[in-house]
Amino acid sequence: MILPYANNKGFFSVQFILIFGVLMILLFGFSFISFVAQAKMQFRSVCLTESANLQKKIISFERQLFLLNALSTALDIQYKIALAAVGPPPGNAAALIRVAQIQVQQFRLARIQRGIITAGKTMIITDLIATKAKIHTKTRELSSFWAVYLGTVYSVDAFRTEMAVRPRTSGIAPNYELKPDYKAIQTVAYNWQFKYFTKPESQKVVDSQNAFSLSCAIQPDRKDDLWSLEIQKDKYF
Amino acid sequence: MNQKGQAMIESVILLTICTVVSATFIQLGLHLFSEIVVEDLLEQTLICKLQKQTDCTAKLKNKLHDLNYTSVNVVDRSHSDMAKILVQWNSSSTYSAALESELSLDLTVR
Repeated sequence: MILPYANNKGFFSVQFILIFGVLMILLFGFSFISFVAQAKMQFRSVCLTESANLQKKIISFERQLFLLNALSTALDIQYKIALAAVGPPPGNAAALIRVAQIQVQQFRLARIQRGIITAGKTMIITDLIATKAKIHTKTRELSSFWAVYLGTVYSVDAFRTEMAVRPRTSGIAPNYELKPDYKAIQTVAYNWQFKYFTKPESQKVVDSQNAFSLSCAIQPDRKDDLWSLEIQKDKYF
Repeated sequence: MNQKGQAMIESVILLTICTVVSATFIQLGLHLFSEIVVEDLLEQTLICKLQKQTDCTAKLKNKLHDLNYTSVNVVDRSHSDMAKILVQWNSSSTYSAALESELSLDLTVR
């Protein structure tokens, strides 16, 4: 039955609202795809830059440690010569004093060596925490734009990077060298996991959730005394 | 007299607008999709360049051709520690795009 006051004036409006809604959903989708792409690129950029910086710092500590190997060797030789000069008990008094002096120097050197290793380890821990915080902050800044429509959960994990050094000789202040598997041990790597879901209010229009993760890693490479860095993608975690 | 004619004209106008807008949106979607794909390929190429590997741009060109992109032009503007590449491509007869990406990373340890 056609009512006497019925007309088609609302037809345009209803159609327009429907189409406008569909276009808005499409626009929303495209914008979010751009956001995800931007977030990924941002992670990779920060991850690569910070990993390379940390790797260089670790190498710098290792170089300092290896530079002391010459002194360690020299003290070891002096110690053996002085010990040989002591002779049978009660021993040569001057040589015994010399042995004690060298041992004091060796203890000092060992303290410096341990200090470098400890400083290196501390630097690694603080640097990893700082980079994780930086990635968190950058992701939060990007996500805040979408906070009205989307809930986002993200986490950043760091690979357990270590200074890959070990004593090469015995004694109070040994020589140090790189561990055979130094590349794997000293890898600096981060994993970024990102999950998004539409908030309950937005689910009436679009119900979507997804998760993805990205990794980047930088390894050291030493050929003779020349160091360089290698980028490894998505091979950790 | 009624307003059926008016409704029909409105529908035609609306249909035209919808068609044009939908086409634009589809093109926008395709553009966005191809940019994301090319951006990812560009990133791999930049890393390849930074690691001083060979044939990085040639590999990029091949991958773009595999994706059926035509008129692919790759301009390598890299120098020392900065890899910078410009890519221009066509994904259809009517649509062409360009994307430039750079990555600065010093992989040498002094």
